[in-house]
Amino acid sequence: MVTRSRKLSNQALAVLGSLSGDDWRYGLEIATATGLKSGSLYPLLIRLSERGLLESRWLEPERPGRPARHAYRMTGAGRAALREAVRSPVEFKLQGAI
Amino acid sequence: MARASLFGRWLIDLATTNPPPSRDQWAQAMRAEFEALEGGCTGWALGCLATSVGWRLRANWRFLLAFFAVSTFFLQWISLLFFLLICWLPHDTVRAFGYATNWGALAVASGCFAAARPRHWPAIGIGMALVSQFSIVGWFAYFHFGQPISIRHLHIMDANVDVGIGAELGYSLIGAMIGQSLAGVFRRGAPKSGALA
Repeated sequence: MVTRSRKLSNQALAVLGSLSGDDWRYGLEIATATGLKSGSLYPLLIRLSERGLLESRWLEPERPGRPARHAYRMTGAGRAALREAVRSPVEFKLQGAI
Repeated sequence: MARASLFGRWLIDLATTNPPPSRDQWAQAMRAEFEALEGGCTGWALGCLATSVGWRLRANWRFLLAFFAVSTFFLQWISLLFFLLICWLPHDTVRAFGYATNWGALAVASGCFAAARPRHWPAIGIGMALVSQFSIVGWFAYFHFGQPISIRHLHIMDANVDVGIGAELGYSLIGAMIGQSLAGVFRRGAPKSGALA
């Protein structure tokens, strides 16, 4: 996990903001919370995961016969990055995610 | 709705089949969310497809760049160069050798690219023929800028456009098929360590 200090985009911050709780959240839930479409969401999730800002795991399906789902949660580094972004004087919009 | 779901399923299949190895888990994640959706899944699948196209472009950009450079530029100019080199020969000989060079170069180029990506040989064969033919029209339009071009005046290798493109497709596909077969033969024929012991 390589953590780079590149500035996070507003969309990336919105994704991190939607993961601010301790619960694991699914891609669809994050999409609903942030208003992002799948075409924007997954490249962001991959980037954040590769930067070590979020972790992922497969969760067993809630209903039998359904496939396991990939869920996401913010890491300590993600929380720090989000806190840093909120503190930073650079203006950003979280689109109501936090 | 059923048709939309069917279309969505087709899109998600397209998006998640054979992703680059580093993105396999993410492809499965996108598919799992698609399965979890109750309705309106076509938009989600379309987004997944766009993501997947991005992965593939990033993973194969060198191959694609080489493919388009060869099919739009190199093939045309190597044929032109050969025409210029033999233009002192009798007219019929020039035509025969020139066309043979064009066909040969197309088949060899398709074969080389198909050897590099054997599973995609049909797409490579068709793509190489079509892109190179359309680029010829592009080059022609570039050098005759401002002059009207009619499809009736276009000929490919002394044949009408449809016949000419059909022939080019044939040569290109044959080249690609030979390329992927040779690649398979060389891979199978590679000696394994300790095979002679």
